[in-house]
Amino acid sequence: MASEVTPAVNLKEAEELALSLSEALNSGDGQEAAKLCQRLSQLSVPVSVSINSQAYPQDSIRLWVGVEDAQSDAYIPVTVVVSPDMTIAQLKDKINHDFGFSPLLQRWVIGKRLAQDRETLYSHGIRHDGDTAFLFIRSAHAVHLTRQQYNLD
Amino acid sequence: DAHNTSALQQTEETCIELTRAIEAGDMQSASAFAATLARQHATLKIQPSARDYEDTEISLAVVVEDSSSSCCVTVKVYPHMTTAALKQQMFLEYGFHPRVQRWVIGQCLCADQRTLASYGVHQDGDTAFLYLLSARHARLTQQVLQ
Amino acid sequence: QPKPRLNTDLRRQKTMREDGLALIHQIREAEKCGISPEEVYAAILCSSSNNTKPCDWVTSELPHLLDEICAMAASVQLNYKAGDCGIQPTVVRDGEEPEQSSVPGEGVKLSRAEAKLAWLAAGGDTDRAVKQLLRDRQHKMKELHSLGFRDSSQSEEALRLSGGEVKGALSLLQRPLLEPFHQRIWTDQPEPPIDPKNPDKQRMCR
Repeated sequence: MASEVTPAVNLKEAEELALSLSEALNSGDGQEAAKLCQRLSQLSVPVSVSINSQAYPQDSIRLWVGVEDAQSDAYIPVTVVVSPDMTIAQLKDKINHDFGFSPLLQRWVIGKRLAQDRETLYSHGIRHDGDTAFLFIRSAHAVHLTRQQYNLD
Repeated sequence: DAHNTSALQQTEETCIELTRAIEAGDMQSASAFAATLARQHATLKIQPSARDYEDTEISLAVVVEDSSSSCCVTVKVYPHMTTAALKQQMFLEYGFHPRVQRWVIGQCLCADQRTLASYGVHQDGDTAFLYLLSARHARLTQQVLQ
Repeated sequence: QPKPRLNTDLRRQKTMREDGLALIHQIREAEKCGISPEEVYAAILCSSSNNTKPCDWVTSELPHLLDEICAMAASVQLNYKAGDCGIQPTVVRDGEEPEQSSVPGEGVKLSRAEAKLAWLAAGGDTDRAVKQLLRDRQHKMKELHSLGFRDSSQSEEALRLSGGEVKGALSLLQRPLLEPFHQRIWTDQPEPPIDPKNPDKQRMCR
């Protein structure tokens, strides 16, 4: 009786393919990249494709965050130290770690846009100290958080 | 600087498209996006991201049996769901009353309140057995229990 | 020298804050009407030309748009050949013969529910929603195919009936397989005979 999580059989293959694909893309070998891409998409595994963080400005930024929910009359301002190459998903994890709001409840608004998990802060124009983002916290009820309750147990 | 900024944003956009294509198994689009990225000589990091098995719906292979026959079907389940919830799902989807269902995973007869994950169900293709009691036997058991 | 730069930066930060706050207010209003942030955001992008409130637009206009997305996707024919994993849409325009005559008369049958998910995933962009809708559907068809359901017209129909959910489609496709078990459950029943089609399922086990 297996009691531990069995890793997916094809994870090793996926890792090797992903690594080769990054190498092919970095060296500009389009043909090889296309071939590897086909094999990787056949596995239909979740992947993350990110630009090397060195491509982004390296300084950390003091981001001004207005926190609101459906009930609040005004936002509560907090300051969060971030780096421009951080993705929204990473930001959600950080907020979850620092303040305990589940990523499922967080919605981030930067400028006119509702930010998506895979986008970086940089792509939303976050550049300098004092740049603004808003964090809207959804109610567990609105999100139908039954599974979440399980995770919290 | 403005030029670099928009180039970086564009590359990022293409990366997101590539991610979606690979995950959807869309080979054609994936190759096309890869070709674009290769032309840009972007320095990328690509890695499989861990699937959260507790939170992902998986395809459970279910061998349905009764005293005379056997048949295999696929049922979509969450590993964190309880046996009781699975019985309810089988009732809604296939009309087998929870009381005639007995689930066996590995060497265990599954208890209602325990999760499938606790019996080792984690990923696509894991197998469970559903034994269907005859209504008469189910009723007897019920009487014994009361 | 640094002064003008500082000014533009201050202006940029001011706009950033005002824009963000405006969207946040829309999201808050939407949550009160039971509309998700993703939905209201996509609605804002779609309805930007007129003055309808996003929440009203979702009830009055969105259903029509979803039907339109379904129709656009249905006009694209897909090939479900074994081993063919890319999406190869052949758009059939008026007065034009389809280049590849793949299973004639078998357009993809799509539901509003699926169109809405695709529309949300595409952030309100209609063209991307159509592409996403077809990609999602193809992914589901591949999954059903890999589970042994090789008759694509049957799978299409099951998916349409289940609002695009693989789970529901699976149960529709597999119910006939399990029908004999239903009958056997009641065979050695001594008395009284019980009708398995009786809607009162509780009665069966009493």
